[in-house]
Amino acid sequence: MPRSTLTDFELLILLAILRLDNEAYGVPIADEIERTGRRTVAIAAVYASLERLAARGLVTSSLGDPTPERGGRAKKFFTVTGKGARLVRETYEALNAMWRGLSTVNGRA
Amino acid sequence: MTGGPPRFATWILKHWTSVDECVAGDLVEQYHRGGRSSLWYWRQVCSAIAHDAIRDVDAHPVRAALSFGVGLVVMWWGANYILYSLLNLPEWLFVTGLTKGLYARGLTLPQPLREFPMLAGWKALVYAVSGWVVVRTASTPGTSIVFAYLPFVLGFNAITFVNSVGRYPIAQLTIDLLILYPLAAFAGGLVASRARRPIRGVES
Repeated sequence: MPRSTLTDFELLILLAILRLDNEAYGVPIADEIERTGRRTVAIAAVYASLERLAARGLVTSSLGDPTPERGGRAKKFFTVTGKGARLVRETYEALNAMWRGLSTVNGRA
Repeated sequence: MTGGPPRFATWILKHWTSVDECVAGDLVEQYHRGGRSSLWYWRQVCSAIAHDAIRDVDAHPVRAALSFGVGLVVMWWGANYILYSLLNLPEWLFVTGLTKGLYARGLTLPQPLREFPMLAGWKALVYAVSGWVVVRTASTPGTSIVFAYLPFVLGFNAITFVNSVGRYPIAQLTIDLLILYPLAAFAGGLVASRARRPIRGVES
């Protein structure tokens, strides 16, 4: 049965794509996660997750033009689908609900 | 920083993995624009190999487990039983009386063929066959399945290593069990994956 939840890394990737808008391909997605998520990311790990997300219909991709600085290889741009955006929101709400009332991690202990 | 990213790493990425071309493009772009080091590039390529292997095993876990099982049986049985049986075949034939005539004429298997380092060569051949078998029985023809098989070979050999310490020199065990034989298994797998690789652009 297909999963209806997101791993933390998948959530970070979807959020990075949403933040990058029309410029979401491997390099900026990894940069965004490294900068904002404060963790080291391998490009291959990003693509492995993107492949899984695409298989679940949460993202779609389109190829850009090949550029010399990439050795003549094209960029693959990613967009979050409606289903993906809905799952991001549901995950956010679930996390938020769990967060509420936790005095220890909210610094009130 | 001069020139492009490490060529051998790029070659490995292109020929030994089935990762998307865009991944290679991203790595080259990041290497140039992000001012990344060669070590970073190598780490990314190793990560791509690992993810490629995990993805292929994950796609067909039962088939992959069966392939690894068959490969390990070939490796263990071949290196410990079949190989010695073949090397001792002339004596066995002599004992059974089938080849007394050959022995009488001095036609025996030369002893150096049965001792180190030639014996290590025969065993390496058995490991190469096991790598070949794994790729031939796996559902994916790529080298990723060989990369996934290597940790099992190394794990198996590490156990043999521990059990053999004291009976053989450490240097010999290290070279044979942890370098030569795994490389042979990998080479066997590479040969098989070349033979099974579909032609690009042709739907199978």
